[in-house]
Amino acid sequence: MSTDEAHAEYEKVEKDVPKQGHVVFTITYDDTGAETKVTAAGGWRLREVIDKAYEALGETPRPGDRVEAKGVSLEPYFNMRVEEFVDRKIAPDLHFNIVSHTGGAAEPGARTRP
Amino acid sequence: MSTGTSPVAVPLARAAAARDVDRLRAHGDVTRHGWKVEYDGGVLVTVTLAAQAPGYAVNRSDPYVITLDCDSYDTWPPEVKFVNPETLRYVVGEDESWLPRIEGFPNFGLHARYQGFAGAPTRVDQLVCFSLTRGYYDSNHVPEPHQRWTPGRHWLYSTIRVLHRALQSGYYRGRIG
Repeated sequence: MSTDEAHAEYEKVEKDVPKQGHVVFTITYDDTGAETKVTAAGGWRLREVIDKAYEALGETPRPGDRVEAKGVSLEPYFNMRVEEFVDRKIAPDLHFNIVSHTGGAAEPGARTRP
Repeated sequence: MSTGTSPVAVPLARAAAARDVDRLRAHGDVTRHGWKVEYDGGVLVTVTLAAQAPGYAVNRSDPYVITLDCDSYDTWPPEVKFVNPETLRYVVGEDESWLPRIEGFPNFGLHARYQGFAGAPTRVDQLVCFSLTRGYYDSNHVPEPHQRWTPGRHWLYSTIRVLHRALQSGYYRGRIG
């Protein structure tokens, strides 16, 4: 293995294996089905995890977006630190969904094309 | 003036459906939530989703068979129907018992018998209505720009994911029948 290859391998391991005390969240963006992982330090606020997820997904928050874990909104926990969020087992599988607002039956109007 | 959705050439619709069925089967949510995906090789995709009402034991669920007709895909979203699992069809007046009762799910309409489809004033049929179903556009609805079905962004998964959420305990209240 060349020095460059060894360095690349080291960086890959650094990237893939969370450091001690760090937490890896999986976030699915429901609108597109894209998934990403965010490695967060225990002192981060949950809001930072969500911000990183949007960034990694290449998305920006849309009006009405909601972050859920098993259908329950995580908004009340956005200012909670990651370590407390994990200790309280609020989302034990550490998997979130970002759910976009769909148009629904309450908005009748002229016919249109997408 | 446009009136609802419009047809897409069959080979194009079939190719888009086949491509996205493969993507769907590879998605983690299929295993995560036990979605069963079947495909007829043309433009019809069938999924079975598990519904859980409040008070159900962890291992109890009600299966719902849903067809996604991709004959205008992916210029338009799939046409969605909850169907009789024996016939894979929905007949007004006969198959209402295969519909779920969903309450409080935002921006989601499920009509057992709807009349008023664009370009088909006498048609009476089931309507599953949100901005990621074709019926939404065929029933005189206008989404906000960010809600509009967008080919290349939205796909089968996007529609199925909304159906999955509607069938969870926050909104699902059991079978209609």
